[in-house]
Amino acid sequence: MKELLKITDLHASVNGTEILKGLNLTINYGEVHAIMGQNGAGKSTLGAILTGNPAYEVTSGSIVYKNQDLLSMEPEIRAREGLFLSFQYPIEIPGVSMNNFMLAAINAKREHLKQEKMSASDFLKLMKEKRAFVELDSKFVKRSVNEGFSGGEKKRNEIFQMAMLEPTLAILDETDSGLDVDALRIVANGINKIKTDDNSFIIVTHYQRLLEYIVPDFVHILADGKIIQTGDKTLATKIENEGFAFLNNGTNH
Amino acid sequence: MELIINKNETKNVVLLNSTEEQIRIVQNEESSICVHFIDLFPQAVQVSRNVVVEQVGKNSQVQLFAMGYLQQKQQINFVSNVLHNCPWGHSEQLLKYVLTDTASFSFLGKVYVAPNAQKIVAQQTNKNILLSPQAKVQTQPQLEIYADDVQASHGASTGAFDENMLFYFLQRGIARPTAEKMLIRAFYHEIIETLPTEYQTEIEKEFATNDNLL
Ligand SMILES: Nc1ncnc2c1ncn2[C@@H]1O[C@H](COP(=O)(O)OP(=O)(O)OP(=O)(O)O)[C@@H](O)[C@H]1O
Ligand SMILES: [Mg+2]
Repeated sequence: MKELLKITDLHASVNGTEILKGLNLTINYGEVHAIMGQNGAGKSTLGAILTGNPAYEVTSGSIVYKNQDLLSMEPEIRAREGLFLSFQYPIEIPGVSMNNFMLAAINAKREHLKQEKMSASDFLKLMKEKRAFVELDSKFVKRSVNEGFSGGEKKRNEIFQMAMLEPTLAILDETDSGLDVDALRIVANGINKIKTDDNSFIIVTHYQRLLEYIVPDFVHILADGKIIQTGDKTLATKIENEGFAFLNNGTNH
Repeated sequence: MELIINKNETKNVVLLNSTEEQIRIVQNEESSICVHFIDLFPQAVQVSRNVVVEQVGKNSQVQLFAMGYLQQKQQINFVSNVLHNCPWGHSEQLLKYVLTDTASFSFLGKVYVAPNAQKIVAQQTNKNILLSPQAKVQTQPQLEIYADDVQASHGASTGAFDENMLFYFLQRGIARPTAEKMLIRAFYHEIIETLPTEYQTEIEKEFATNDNLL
């Protein structure tokens, strides 16, 4: 088992409030980890910390990613090194077309990897190929990034971008929320096509639905700023059926 | 500089990094004038620009567009004074500036509508982006309206780029300078698309090659 990510005793805060309080998590190449937990537990905070969002502050702990100190890397370098976040609330960028946005992203990564810039024709070919992954209509790539996209379209667009950028570690923050049944299946199939032994996923979700398509190796429960329980996919079923109440009556901790 | 626009005449003027301080436009009946001020790479440190538009004939239209990128100690003080003296006149003003370092921009937009000048439509918008906390903007509309059947509107906004938006770029591997450049282009877009094609091409070229400025 080759280690991709190791989070040790992570403490993090936002606006002076401590949200993560000693979180530990190790992810190996090729693994799928689901993270569940109540609203406000800190799931999105974890994604923000991993991707280097400057609004969130790490107060102590360490994160090693690809044998490097992740916390000393700039957010754009983390991205070029294969870290991808499918945002819970994707941002709209009026006036910047998906085409230009993706070309800039692809070329930034290629430059970082000391590869040549992608030619316009190769880029268009790649866009077309990856659009097919998530059945994204061509009209979306001519539009401004996420502008006026419906909730579900935004989520599908996140996964399209993920397919384009071929991340090593993808964090999907409630990508399943807001997707209709068909879209969920399409997105899940897209993710399965991208998944290999050389990349890993953190899937943040409130529902078991997505996990029926993408079977997680581990399911973690985040509460009180820590991973308080880890199980296999049956843990997700249990949460779906019973809620988080069983955590409070002392059965498991 | 004085421009007399004759009856029924239509005119387009593009002023690139102009240091002209007094610009007077007189519009006769049914005339139309569109002026673009492009202050993208100004050499001058300070420009006080005073633009007066006098509509002396009915049914005339004026469009004033201004866009700029000001850096270091550059300063533009822009005063426009649109005088609607006759009925059925239109004026549209759109000014969009990006400021960095200690640059500053001020806009005083006066619109005057004479008592007999009915059916006037006057619009004024000033939007600015601040890339540095030391950059300064002051904007002030001043409407003097003496006719009662008039549609006049003004709007202004000044601010930095949204940090969440910038983070979205960073998370996709796009560094901040490139992200800002893309957002600045998007910001200027609505003005650039009103320019004659040859200027559009020139500006696009400048954007593509001028890496240290934007
Ligand atoms: N920018 C912020 N400013 C203030 N508080 C914040 C900010 N971001 C997050 N928080 C707070 O931190 C806590 C954790 O938020 P987070 O978004 O990580 O929760 P979550 O587990 O993703 O919840 P959900 O399931 O609702 O998405 C919440 O109490 C939230 O209000
Ligand atoms: Mg969340």
